[in-house]
Amino acid sequence: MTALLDVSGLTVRFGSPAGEVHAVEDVSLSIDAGESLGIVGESGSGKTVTCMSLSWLLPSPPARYLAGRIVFKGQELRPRQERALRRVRGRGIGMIFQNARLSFDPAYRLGSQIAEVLRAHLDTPWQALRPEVIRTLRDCNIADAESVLRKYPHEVSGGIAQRVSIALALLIRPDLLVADEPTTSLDLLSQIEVLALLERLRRETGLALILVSHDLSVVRRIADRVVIMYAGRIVEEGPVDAIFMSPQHPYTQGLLASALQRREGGRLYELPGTPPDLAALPAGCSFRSRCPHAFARCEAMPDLLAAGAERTTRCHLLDGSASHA
Amino acid sequence: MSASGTVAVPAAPRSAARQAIAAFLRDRMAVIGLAVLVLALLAAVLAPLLSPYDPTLGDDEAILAPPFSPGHLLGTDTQGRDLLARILFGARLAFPEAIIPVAAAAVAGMALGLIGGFYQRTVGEMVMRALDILFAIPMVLLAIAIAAALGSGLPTVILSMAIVITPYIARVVATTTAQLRSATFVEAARVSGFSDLRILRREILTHVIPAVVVYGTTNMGAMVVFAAGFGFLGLGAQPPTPDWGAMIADGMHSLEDAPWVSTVPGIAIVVIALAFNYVGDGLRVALDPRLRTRL
Amino acid sequence: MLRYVVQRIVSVIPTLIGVSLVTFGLLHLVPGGPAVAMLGMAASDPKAVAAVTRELGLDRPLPEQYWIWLKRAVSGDFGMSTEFHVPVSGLLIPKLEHTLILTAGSLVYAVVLGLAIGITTALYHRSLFDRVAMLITLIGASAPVFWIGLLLSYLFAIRLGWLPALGMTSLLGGSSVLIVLRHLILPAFANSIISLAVIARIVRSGMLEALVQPYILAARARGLPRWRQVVVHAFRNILPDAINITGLQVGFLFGGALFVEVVFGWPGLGYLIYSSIQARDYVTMQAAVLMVSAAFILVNLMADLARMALDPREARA
Repeated sequence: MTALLDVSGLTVRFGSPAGEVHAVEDVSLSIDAGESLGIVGESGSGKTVTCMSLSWLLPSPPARYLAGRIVFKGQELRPRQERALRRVRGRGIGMIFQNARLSFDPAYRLGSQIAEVLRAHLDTPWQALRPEVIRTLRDCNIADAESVLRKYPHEVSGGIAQRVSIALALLIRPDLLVADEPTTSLDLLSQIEVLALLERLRRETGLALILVSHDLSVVRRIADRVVIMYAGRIVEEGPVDAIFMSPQHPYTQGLLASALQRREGGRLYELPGTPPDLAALPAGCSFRSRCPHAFARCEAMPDLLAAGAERTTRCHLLDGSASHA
Repeated sequence: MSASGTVAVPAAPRSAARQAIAAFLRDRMAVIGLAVLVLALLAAVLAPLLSPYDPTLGDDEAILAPPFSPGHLLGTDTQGRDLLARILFGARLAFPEAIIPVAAAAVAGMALGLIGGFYQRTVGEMVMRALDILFAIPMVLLAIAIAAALGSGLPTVILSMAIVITPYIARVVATTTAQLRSATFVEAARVSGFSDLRILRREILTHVIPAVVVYGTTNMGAMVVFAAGFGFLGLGAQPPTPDWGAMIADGMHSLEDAPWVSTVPGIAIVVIALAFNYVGDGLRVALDPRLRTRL
Repeated sequence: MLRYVVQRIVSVIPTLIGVSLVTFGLLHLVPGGPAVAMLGMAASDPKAVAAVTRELGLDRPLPEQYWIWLKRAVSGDFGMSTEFHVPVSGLLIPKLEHTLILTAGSLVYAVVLGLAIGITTALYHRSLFDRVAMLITLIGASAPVFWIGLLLSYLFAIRLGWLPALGMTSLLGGSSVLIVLRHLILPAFANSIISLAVIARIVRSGMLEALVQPYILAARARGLPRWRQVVVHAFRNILPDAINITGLQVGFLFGGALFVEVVFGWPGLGYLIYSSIQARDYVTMQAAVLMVSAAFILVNLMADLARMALDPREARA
């Protein structure tokens, strides 16, 4: 079965006064229809840039797409073919953002912005679509759907805005929904509601989902597989239970350790050090300066090695002939 | 590490003035503008030495000579007067016409604005209303009307311009003063019993002066253009004294045959005005720490 | 907000009064007094001076003179023009109309071209077009309006003969709208340049900021076409600032029109003032200055009110 979306060798850089930022370096991933993939990493790990590059979305100055091949539903998506990309955006690959309220234009009511998107993708007139829009909004736990349509973005709460955003994404029936930190800006109650909504929708519609988060618990709940990113590269990948049960990369281990400690109220374990400057990456493994197991081999960047059933890890420790000298 | 084993101590943080100068120097266009202005000023001062001809004497045999004619780099005008000489001597009017009104207006405007902004409810209110009247008349018109009434000449031009610009500076000063007045540190000073005059001088003036300097220099370019307007209408220095604006008017009637007579002085005006603009912009960024992006 | 509007309208009155005082006072600034000003050459004759003084009531106390003058002015009597020998009031209104036509034409140029340049330079930020356009607008804004007018006149009227150089209507008779428009093209453009540059600058920086907003990226992600992102969303969000700056330019354009009229011989109030200064027709000059100032105040008031009406932020406030 061919994957719904296949990305290989994605490399994205940004120019900045401090030098060229290596935001994403040689990232490959794929997702099958109906599957749910989580992308985990700290801020600056490249997870957001990656998910925004799936339809070559980032404006090309200032972003520079150095390399990458993206195939969606068997068709290759080329970076400059705006018309083809426009058809895929929204319809094939839907997207919801971290700050839902800011993802809407403050000068127009929510209803008219929904209508605008629907008009761009569907031929049916607004009057005919309106009942379905109301139904979908109600399905997404928005009780007062009629009045929400008349409101401006700043007049609704973050939770409602996010649900409107999800409803809008669903109305165009995408094959894949990309969610960039959908719950991070929300209060706890809304977080739970939005996650439950996403789970339910996946069950009911068979939607594929890419969920980006720095919160491991969120990813654990929803994802089938997870990708861990650090300093622009993938450092570990595999089925979610396997990764959580036995993380192999020292970074993943550290992430889990600190999450675990926090939840059980134990002493806070924090990964020592800080993520590297993406404009001035050190040679060798990017995690080296913070890794408790770093050794001589780490002066060279490790490759992504197979490490078990459908798992890969980017670490020299897994290379059998490693010596800890 | 020197041989004696002493360790280098990091230098003390640079003073605000040095930081401002450094910020200014980073702006390439501002530096170029400043260089142009300095050169032009030198040329104006040294005009009698630099100029090949007397700017007021015409040569009947070389009327309306085009630029690059032998002996006349920029050509001659309707009376055979050398344009290069007239431009050089015209600069001697252009600079005072740009700088003195702004300086005078700065002093008057600061005085009025400080009163207007500090004593907002009493005297200040009246001062600002009076200024509103001056705002209501188009700047151009007021200046021309004053000059027309007082008679033409350099002093009149300078006085008219000073009168017309003063309200603008006063308004900028008044707004800044009013804002500062309600700032916490001023409140603190008042509560501590400092006299009004002292507060004005120490707390408020130190913020107002850079704002006025920036506003003044940014608008000096416009002043050069404004002053040229007077000359154009015949209200500036009278012939045969060379005035850039008047020179443009001179060439108006021979536009078809000798376009350079009007074009050359215009170019001089544009160059000086642009230079002032770039310098003003550079000063604006240098003096306002918030605008500087430290890389 | 209604209260603010009323306040604004009412504040015009003291300003108008102040303006009338200043205008009245101008005539008396002339060394020797108004009588001397009006007589010109004949001022050396004391008998003539005395006659004029008595005739115009110049020997009365100043406040009384002012009052008489004001009363007459309000009823439309500005005296007789010493140059044209016709009542000044007959001259004023037609000239005012002409100046307003010129101002309106300049406004159209400034808004249309300012928006076009501002938006395209923002869309092609840092391109050659952007840099060149910004440089040209900066140069245009640093040049004297009358000089630009002369250059345009030379290029398009004299050299290329496409457009007329002077005046408002064709000498061959007929002042149809088309002919007036043809004569309007150059002077209106010359007058608009500085405002055009200001508007372009503000629109450009506003658009640059708007185009990097999250909702623009989200619109793109949802499959909206580029033109919708730019026009419906980005532009709509800078509209309040654009309207604001345009309103502020109207008064400036009115003032600039006065200058441009002289260069192009456009028969408006500015040209009238200029010619009356040349002819030492101080009566006309004074009346024209008063008319211009009053019109200026009203034009600014209209622009302010229009601004407040159109600005959605103000409406919601």
